[in-house]
Amino acid sequence: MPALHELQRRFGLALLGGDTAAIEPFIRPAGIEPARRLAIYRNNSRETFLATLAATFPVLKRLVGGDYFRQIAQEFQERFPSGSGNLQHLGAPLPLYLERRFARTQFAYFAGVAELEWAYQEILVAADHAPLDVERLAAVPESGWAELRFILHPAVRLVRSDFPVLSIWSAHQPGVDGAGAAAIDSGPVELDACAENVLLRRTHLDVEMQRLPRADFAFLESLALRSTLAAAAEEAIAFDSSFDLTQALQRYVGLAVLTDFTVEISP
Amino acid sequence: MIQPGASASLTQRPIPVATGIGLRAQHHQAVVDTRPAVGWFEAHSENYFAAGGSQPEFLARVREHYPLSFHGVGLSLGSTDPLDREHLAHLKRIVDRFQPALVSEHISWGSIRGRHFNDLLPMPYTEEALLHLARRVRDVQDALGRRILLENVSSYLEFTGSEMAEWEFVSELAFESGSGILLDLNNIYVASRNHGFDPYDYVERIPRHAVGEFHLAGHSRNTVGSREILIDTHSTHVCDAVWDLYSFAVQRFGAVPTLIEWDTDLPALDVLVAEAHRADAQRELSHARAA
Repeated sequence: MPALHELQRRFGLALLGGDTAAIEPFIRPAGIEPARRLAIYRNNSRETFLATLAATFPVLKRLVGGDYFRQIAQEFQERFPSGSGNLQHLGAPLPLYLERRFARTQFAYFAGVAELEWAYQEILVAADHAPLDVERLAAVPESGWAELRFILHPAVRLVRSDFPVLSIWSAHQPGVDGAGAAAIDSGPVELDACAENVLLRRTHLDVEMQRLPRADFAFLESLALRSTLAAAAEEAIAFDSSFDLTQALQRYVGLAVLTDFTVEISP
Repeated sequence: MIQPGASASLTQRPIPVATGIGLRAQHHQAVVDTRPAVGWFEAHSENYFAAGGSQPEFLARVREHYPLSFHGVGLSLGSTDPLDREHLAHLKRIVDRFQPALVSEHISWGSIRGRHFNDLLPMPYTEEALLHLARRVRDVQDALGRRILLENVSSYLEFTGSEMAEWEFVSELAFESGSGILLDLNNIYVASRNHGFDPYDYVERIPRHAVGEFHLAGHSRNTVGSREILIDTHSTHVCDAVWDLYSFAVQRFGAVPTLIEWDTDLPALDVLVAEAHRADAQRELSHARAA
């Protein structure tokens, strides 16, 4: 029998690709062919992967149906095997995988839905953070405002899609029937018509999602990239000349989307 | 909301004699609301690696009322890949925060060349594997600053090159690494049926002082060709044969902390609590018989 490392390498190959020849001679048949014994482990690993993915992407699963979801999961696992002993990370590359897999097809929106669901999953496990210290903000002299750089709460995500992903998500929640799903069946042209910009944030024990006006979304997206307040406001105004910076700041500090800031002392 | 630093005042609460049950996210709310009459809870360590959010918060609330055990499934102790230091750091962080009475992992491997199967894969029972595992376990115990328990797993194959019986490998590993043994009686039963050995003989050969916890769970029966193979599914009640083996183990090892595990096809909390009470009754009966 080979040394432990080589034994595990061959065992791993049998589980990943199904090529059992290199490990079979070192498994006792005892009434059941080694390949069938290995198949039990291969199946266990696949089922765990599938169940984890299904728990993370329930809307995608409802959209494509259980059988097709199983097929996607298997293809995805072959391309992106789990890289951690912690199952929480397993779905991270799925939006990218779906984007490439369904590019230029009528199912291009699968990737958008998966991106929304992954953002949801990330938010569930993200760090906590105290609300913004408003007194500290008030103490910043007016001359320094333009140069403020805000920090978003760790449990906030911004998802921009060419498709109405939040509408699709809402229509496919348990207990919601018919109407929403029918709209999706009507085809890609209508889907193209309504891009959605979604803000996801964690509330006490749940996740809240809301569509944002394009200007607000651009504002937050810019802040998330650590732009100055002045630069972020400019991005927003490019979409909507009536964008009200003071109101936006109040709203997003109030929602604990913005939780911290840094001030640069300019000479 | 738990305040930062508040948990630092937690002192370790020992596991009581009363049987515990596995803590699953689907039961979080019910556990907090109803505070079921079980002795303790065992959490899968990885399920609480999250930096924030509701999972660690629920765990903190459960910890206020019950002793805890952390049971890891993802450290891949037996792998020849380098030990995952990031995974270990996450484990240390939650062990430091929640001060569980017990910390355990499996005598298995789950990854090779960075690819994880998220499963408990079987070890060959060789001297090489034994020394490799013992070194890794010592490493983990040093990092955590405490002794851990190691669990025997169910298996569906045996390697031709194994040099010793499983009970011997498990016992030697505990001795070599200074760890304790988490004796999973369902896994012993499953392996004994799959590989044709006497489960009572196995239990009898495990050193009396090394066992720090028992696991009880249900399995499923599958047919491969003309042969039956038992699969460790944690999806149903503990079977009669495993209850009998438990009685025998209690007579040998005494009132070791006992846990009911149920992970798939998870029933209502009441069903798990009832199973734990059955274990309590069984244990008292076995004690009386032994006395």
